[in-house]
Amino acid sequence: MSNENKKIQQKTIDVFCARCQTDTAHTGAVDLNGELVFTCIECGGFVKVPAGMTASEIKAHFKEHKEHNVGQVSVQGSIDTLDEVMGDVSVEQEK
Amino acid sequence: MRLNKVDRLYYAATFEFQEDNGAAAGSPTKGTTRTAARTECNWKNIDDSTTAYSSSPITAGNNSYTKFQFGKFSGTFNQISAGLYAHTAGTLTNMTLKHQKAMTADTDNMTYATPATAANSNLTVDGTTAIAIGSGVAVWFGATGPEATGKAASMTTNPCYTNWLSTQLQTASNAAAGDIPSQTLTLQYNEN
Repeated sequence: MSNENKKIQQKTIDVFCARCQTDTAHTGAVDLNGELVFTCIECGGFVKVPAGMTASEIKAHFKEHKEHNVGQVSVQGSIDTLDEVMGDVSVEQEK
Repeated sequence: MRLNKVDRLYYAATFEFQEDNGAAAGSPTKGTTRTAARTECNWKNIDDSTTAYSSSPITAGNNSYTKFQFGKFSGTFNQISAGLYAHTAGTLTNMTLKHQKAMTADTDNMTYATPATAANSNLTVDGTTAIAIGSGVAVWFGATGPEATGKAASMTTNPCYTNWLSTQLQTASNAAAGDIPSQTLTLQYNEN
């Protein structure tokens, strides 16, 4: 048995991730329903595409997907920002 | 001297969510069944508004039937405007929530199609992450029903209806069994 380190390379495609709010690498797979599932390697979010779409239709779908999802302001993002801002500020309360 | 009493009476619009189910019928198409006063949007493996979600669960890796819900305004109002719709609270793990895109033209409204579990490519907004309602998608209003043409950003017709507020829950094969946490879908609007 070889001790060589095996490198597993997986093809990815850059797709806009609504959760990351940027283009990220997505892996591709076909699920049991024949639907194409593109999964963001950064956050695990995925975009499903119905079976039967052509490659050009999928590319058009991804373009539309980006147009319709860019600019979302997540509640968690606002909480994180608040924590970041408030973290540097200490307030003394009078008793 | 006598003071006249002036009463200023303010009325509010009456609002409720409604839902269509069943085969597409009519032109423009709508569901065979329309249910009023919906208080939940349980995504499940059956196209109706009555079956308990626990009786028709979505198996991991599959999708829910597309939900075709919408808002109806009646009662007393002059105008309904400034509609926004978004998933505003709740977390979803190993699943994606898709919904209707923003209305920027009358043609942006969805066409009712018999609900199915195939991934609905007409739902292009990824609403998985809870977002501020201010960055939600624009909702328009019109007469007759959600399926009717003639939607606009503001509407004085009474009763009036939103465009379709359609959603589908798409799960990954590693989605956990059991109930998902409670989610909040918000429709914000102005009335005067």
